[in-house]
Amino acid sequence: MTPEEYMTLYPQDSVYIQVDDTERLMTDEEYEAWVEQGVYNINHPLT
Amino acid sequence: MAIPTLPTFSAGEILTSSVMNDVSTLGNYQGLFHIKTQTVGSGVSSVTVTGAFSSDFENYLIVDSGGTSSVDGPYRLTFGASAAFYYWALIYASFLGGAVNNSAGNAQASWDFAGGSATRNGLIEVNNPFLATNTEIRSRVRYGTVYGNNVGIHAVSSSFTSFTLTAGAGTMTGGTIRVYGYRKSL
Repeated sequence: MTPEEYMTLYPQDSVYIQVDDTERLMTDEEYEAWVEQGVYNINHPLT
Repeated sequence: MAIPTLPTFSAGEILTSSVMNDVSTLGNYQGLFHIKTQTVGSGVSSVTVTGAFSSDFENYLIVDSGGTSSVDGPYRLTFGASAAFYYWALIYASFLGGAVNNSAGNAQASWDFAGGSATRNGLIEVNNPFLATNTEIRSRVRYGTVYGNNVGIHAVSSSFTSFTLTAGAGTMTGGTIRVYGYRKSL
């Protein structure tokens, strides 16, 4: 999966960070790091 | 110690001290004490649970159940704002057979195999997160064909009151995270 495909699946305005019962959208910096980590994990599963 | 058996009470019944002492005994010797239940929202990348750890308990069980993940993979655990010094040895195999494998974590930024699967589940045992000493962790993980047990430590001698579960990829929706404390010996 590419970062572009990942971002299409999970647009920045659709993913939330939850703290107890409060949710907020990610900052640009948080979203960029989250995409990078998610793509890496999907492309490197345990086998 | 004999474990008391309580009768069924009737309306208007006078409760004697003997009966009430049995109630106290049963309450005091319960092994797990429910601390907090946190409902997971929809499409969240992470869930932080505050007020989970305190001086009331030294050892905890975190139970995550009833939710889903958009990606059939593992999720991660972190304590407070600490993003360093997580060490683990994950031993895993496939239900299809083959070799037993491992994944080692050496001073990582998170505890990477806290639970998992598309039908999200997790049972995480934690020793001493509130004490200013290393925290020991044990969790199991299952997703895809991977079935494993993960043991290790968070080698940071600080006190933590909260933890965060973060999807390894994708998002989490629904379900509950329950935190229990193991009662100390009376």
